[in-house]
Amino acid sequence: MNPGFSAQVVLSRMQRAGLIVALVLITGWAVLFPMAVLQTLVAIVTVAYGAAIVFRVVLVWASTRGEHLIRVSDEEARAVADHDLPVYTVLVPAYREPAVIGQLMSHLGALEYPADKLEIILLLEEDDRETIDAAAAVVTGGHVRILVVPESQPKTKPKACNVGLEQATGEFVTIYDAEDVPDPLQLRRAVVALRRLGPSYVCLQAELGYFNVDQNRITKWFALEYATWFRSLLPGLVALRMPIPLGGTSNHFRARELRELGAWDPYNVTEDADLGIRLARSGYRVGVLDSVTLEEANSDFINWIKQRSRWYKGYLMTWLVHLRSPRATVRQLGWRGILCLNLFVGGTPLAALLNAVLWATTILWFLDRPPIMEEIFVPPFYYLGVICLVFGNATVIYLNVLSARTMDRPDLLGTALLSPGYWAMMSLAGAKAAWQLVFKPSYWEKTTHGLHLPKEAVDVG
Amino acid sequence: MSVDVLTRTPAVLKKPFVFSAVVYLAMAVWFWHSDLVPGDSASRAANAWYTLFSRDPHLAAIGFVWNPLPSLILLPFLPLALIFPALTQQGLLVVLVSAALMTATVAVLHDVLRRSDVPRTARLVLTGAFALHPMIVIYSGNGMSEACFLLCLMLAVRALLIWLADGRAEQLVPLGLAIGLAYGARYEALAPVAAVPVLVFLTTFARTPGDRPRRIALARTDAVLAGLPGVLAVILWALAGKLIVGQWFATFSSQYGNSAQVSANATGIGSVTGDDLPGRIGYWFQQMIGLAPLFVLVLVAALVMAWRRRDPRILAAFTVLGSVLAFDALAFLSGTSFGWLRFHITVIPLTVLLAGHLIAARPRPAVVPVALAAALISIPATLITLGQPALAREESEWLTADGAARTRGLTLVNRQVAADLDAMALPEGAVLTDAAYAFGIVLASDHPRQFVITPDRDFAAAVADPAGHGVRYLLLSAQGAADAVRLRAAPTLAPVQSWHDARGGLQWSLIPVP
Repeated sequence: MNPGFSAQVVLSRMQRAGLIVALVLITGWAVLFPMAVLQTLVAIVTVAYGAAIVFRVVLVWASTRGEHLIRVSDEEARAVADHDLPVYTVLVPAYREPAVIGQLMSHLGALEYPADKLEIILLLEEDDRETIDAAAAVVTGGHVRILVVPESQPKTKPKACNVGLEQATGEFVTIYDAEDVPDPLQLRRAVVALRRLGPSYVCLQAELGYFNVDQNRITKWFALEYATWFRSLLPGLVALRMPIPLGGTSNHFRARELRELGAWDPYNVTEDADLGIRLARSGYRVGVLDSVTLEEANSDFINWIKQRSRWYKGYLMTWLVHLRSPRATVRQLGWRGILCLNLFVGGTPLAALLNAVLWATTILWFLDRPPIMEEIFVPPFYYLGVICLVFGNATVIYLNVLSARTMDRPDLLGTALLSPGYWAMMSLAGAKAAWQLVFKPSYWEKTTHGLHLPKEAVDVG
Repeated sequence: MSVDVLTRTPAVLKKPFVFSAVVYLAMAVWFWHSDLVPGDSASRAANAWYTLFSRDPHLAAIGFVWNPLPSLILLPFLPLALIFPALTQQGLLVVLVSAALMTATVAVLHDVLRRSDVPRTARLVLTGAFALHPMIVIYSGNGMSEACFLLCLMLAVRALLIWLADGRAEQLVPLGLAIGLAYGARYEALAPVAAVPVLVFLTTFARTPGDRPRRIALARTDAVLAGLPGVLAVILWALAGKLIVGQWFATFSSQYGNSAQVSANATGIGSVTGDDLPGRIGYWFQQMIGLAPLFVLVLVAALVMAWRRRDPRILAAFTVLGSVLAFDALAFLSGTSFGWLRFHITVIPLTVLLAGHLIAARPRPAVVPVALAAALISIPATLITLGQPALAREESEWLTADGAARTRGLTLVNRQVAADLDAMALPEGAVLTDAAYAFGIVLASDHPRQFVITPDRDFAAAVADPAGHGVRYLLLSAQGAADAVRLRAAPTLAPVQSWHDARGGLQWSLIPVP
């Protein structure tokens, strides 16, 4: 792929130079006029934060106007004769997950797709003997094969996927995680939809849901968040013709275009979101397919923080990568894409990070009312900040209640109303992500899977 | 598949309600040109004005005695007053805005009738019966909060009607927001804040198939969607009031608030409306019959028809507008309200919409003319009522020659006070006055910063020690029952100037600070 799009180096030379110059200037200015710098900083943060909230509301609103999910009925999906189906490659990257391999085979076995047109490639790492052995014991069908990815740096999921894509023979390609339970008709639906949509669409993102929603409060929050993401925010992006940051699995590609584009960036820890932006920059479109893949919701606090901080770090990386040559990005993405890149890709992790700072400021204000704060918050931005604090929080809680209702899970009402607890977790993850972006940019926080299984069955590295 | 949302215009906006807009604009210009802009309107405009142009501009200056939406709506237009001072100094802006809001209300009402399947001709006649109802015309042009309130309520009716018809949870969002906004306009919205979630709960519970726990869970979620914005509006407004002026519900607890005004005027109110319950009920009936004589008939007929057809859509108007009507009736009958005619204003759209449902249910030659006549008869009935000062106490202050002279006289006195003070070329903060009464003077002045007014954060300190705060004069109202400056900054010297109305009644006096 084009090295200019790779996160191997997080900041390009120009970005680094620009950042240093900016920091020097700001520091100098701050020494001379500390109050003016603080006031400006608060003003910028407040406006950006307010814009991110407004953007979110606009997305939800846009998603409710008209139909933006691509629907293929069961009958339409089954109507395609077997000999008319293309060869489909399913990539399944796994690392240190011997416990879930057995289940994987039964879930993928449920896919309604002719075996002679289906190519399933398990992508396992050379040093992961346990999983290789576990897989070798269960892989039976001729259409499933194990591909051991040779040891090399960076050892990441996108690198493994690139290796798999080189050997893939399918016209279409998709990725599933080892613990995924895809809708059995998903491949057929994707084929029908992509043929119907024509060549400008090279990718479909299927909806992700969770099979262990009721395990604990974290999984409930997570499920609600995903429902909002796939039912409101992504369809909203589609409606407004903006780039779609892809999710980690169940994205269905035309293989040729994917290869031409350079496939996944092995250095980006959210290679999926990055690929979504790159697709948009190349003028391709992405649809959201009405077909659910069930995943395991992260049920453990520490594990959740690890996973989320990796996502946030990846979003920040993606944001920085695509701001390297701003003029080209503006030309390729247009103003809508730029809005999405800044308010959605950059905005999501930054808002999570800022939340903690802003809440701490609010609490400090009510406890102590330090007069310096009145000085820092200049009136128009102070009011904007109050509006964000009050209406922003209320709006997001309200949207979560709406999600609980539209996903037909009214039992999640309490979970929706308790959303601020989840935001506190997001803030922690945001802080960790920012720290890692500076000190360990390519480090891949492995998410442990199989936490929904009975204790003795879990065996993770 | 993917529809570009930006190219679609809601149907409501495509229909230009030019006719009612022209009538309302004419009414607004008449109120302004005749110097009859009511004090309630001027004070809402003044509240908005203080936040930007007073001596101590800050948002909290908008005040907590009256709900803020009618003032907030004015904020974006206030800078225009720097170019056209008449917008604020003579109250032109506030009447123009109420005319625009009432025009929008007519458009939404027309859309509600369309969605209730009222045939085209009947729909236009009914829209006319609302748009040209004398009370609607008057309150479109006088700048008071009725237009803003009716618009919010009508938007709530529309959203609730759509939800009752299609059951999509997304429709509960505009419903909830409209009710929340309605509370921003007037506190009577407490009634739909309570009533609508109950209706939503019962409806979802009744029409969802499945087992009982699931039906309850869905109904509860729907009720939260419909009710949360309204409940939050109530809580946040109370919280803001508590944090900034120390009172949860200033409308009820402030010395300037509604409750204080009603008790201060209890004898006066009682002498017109009757002191006891039977007297009040009689007065209330007279007012209701005066506004919509056949309301009860239309209500019963429409409910019976809806029940026969099992059509729940009628409950939209019935719940939203009916709950406000019931709230005001209870407030008046329990002796905690002024009993103004305008407190029953929701009966006007309610009668029109119920007549619409009746026609939609039975679009036959025997029914349609009767239903239309029942709605239209409200117009002559109201014209008669408005000619009776005992029933239309507020309205007669603008519509009768005597009343108009009184109202105009007060406006002119305010302007005279402002002009005389402006001529003295006083420095900033030289005149201490209670804005609850002096808002008209502050608004009319070319130098509003010469006043230290109630919302200023140093007001209390200035009242305690006027001289120490650079105050040179106290401007005292003669009539204000709770004038904080007159009551607390006890004047010792004789006034240097005083102002009287046309009948010689003392209105204002200016006392030097030693």
